[in-house]
Amino acid sequence: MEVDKGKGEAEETRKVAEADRDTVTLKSSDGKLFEVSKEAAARLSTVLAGMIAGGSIDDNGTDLKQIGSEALENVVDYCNKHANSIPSAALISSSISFNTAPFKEPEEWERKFVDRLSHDALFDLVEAANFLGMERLLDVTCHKISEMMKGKSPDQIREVFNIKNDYTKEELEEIRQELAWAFYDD
Amino acid sequence: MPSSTARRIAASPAAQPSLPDELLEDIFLRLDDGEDLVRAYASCFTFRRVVSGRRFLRRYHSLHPPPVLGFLAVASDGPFHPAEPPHRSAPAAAAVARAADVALAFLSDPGRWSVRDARDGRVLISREAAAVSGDAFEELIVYDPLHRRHIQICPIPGDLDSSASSANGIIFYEIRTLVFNSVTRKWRAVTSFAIIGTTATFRWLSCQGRRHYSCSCFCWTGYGRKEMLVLDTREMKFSVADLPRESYNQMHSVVDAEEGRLGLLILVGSRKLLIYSKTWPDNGDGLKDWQCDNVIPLFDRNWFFSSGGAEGYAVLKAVALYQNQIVGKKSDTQYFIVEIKTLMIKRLCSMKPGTDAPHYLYASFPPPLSLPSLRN
Repeated sequence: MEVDKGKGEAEETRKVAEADRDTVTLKSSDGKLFEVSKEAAARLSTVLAGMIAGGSIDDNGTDLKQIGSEALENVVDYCNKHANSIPSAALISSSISFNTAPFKEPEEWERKFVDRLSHDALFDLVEAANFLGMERLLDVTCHKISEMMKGKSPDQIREVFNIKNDYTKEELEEIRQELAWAFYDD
Repeated sequence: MPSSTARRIAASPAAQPSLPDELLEDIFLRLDDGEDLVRAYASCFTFRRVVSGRRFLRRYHSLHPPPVLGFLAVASDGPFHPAEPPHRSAPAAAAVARAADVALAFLSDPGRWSVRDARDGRVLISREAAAVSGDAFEELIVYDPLHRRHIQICPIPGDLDSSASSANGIIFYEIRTLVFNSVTRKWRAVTSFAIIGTTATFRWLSCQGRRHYSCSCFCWTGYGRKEMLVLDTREMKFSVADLPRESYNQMHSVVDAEEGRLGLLILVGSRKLLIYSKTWPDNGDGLKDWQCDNVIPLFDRNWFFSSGGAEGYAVLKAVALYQNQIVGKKSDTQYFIVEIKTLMIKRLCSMKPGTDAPHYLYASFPPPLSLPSLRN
């Protein structure tokens, strides 16, 4: 079994700052440990903020049984990147309600962050963001999946979500006829 | 929740989507085009259930404006003039024309009714009042053509009608807003506004002026007027807003501008379109608050504003240059809508010359994305 790099680092950090740490240790469903800035975790995740405030953070690794190591690594990576990125004026101003753009556009680095993810990693990350109450990360990942659907046929949309067609041939034909206006280009 | 490893082993498509409904909703809400949403609907039963759910559709409607599908106007060939190709709403407009009762078939005498307004998928129609009744207004019906529902509006009692009085040549007009409650089926006077003016004021505020709807406000403008009358429907409060100098003696139209601002389009001599905007509600700065955001040059045709701005768009009509000199066949009048967000002017449809009855933009989501706009 391979040695977990994250775990080694976590142990190092624990030795250095035992009492008043500025990081928290999170444990994935498959037992891997990850360090994340306490400030960023509390700011970006309502669930982690609640756990930190409620003192239910375990210094030996807070169990997040719902989240696999790959997804948790991406969550931690996102938090750390977010902690290092200075919120731009654009992001602040766009948080004021804007009639025609109901959703905040992802920042350039956020776009790149989700673009490099594999299909499975992206879908796991959406669920992890939802579980941890990470509104901003949920925005960014949902935006990415919706972009993958735009202009696509039902067949291609099924591919995006990796789901079976459960309509009968007749039902599909009926939908295509009734809703022909939405099938202009195929 | 399946871990990524589990999902990778099950590489063949799953019977059910792995994401819960709430996440599917969050993703689908970000699809700006109804077409994309319908293709998701056509992908599997779960997506169909999510997309056609009332909760989802309500959220979707609150975030996305419905597409403009055409005009409603009084015309011999029926009241609906759908968007025509190559406008991107043309296929949806054709679908709505088939699914909806656009010909007022629920009335025994559709020919005697006129379209008076259209907004939020609802259409207001009226029939001239019978001469015997003492009611101030004609018979009114609000109907939802797509869901084939209608509500008869009781006549407005005569004592609630607007009034005017004059002294020494000055006319005092009182404008009242009345609200009809469809549950109690009663009219109620809500607010009134006094304005001093001449008969020109009356023309401005009645038939010859133009009414727009933007930022939850009804705005009345008139050619040659240096101000507009505004009724903010959130507070039911009237106010008068000064218009920028550039609009004097030019045609103009009020529309929604970016970031919740109130927009004003000024048509300068058929050559260019100036786009102004100001914060709304008014911050009391008067003229200083208006700023010119953009200029769109116009070419090749004579351009006019053909109706008040509504549903987020201004409506332009264009006739061929030198139309008057051409003897014989006149070409159809082309109607365009101005999209403030993209600064695009897109052709919506054409109408025969001479069919210049008042017309109203009709915007609605086609089925299966629409919800009834009237309760039965």
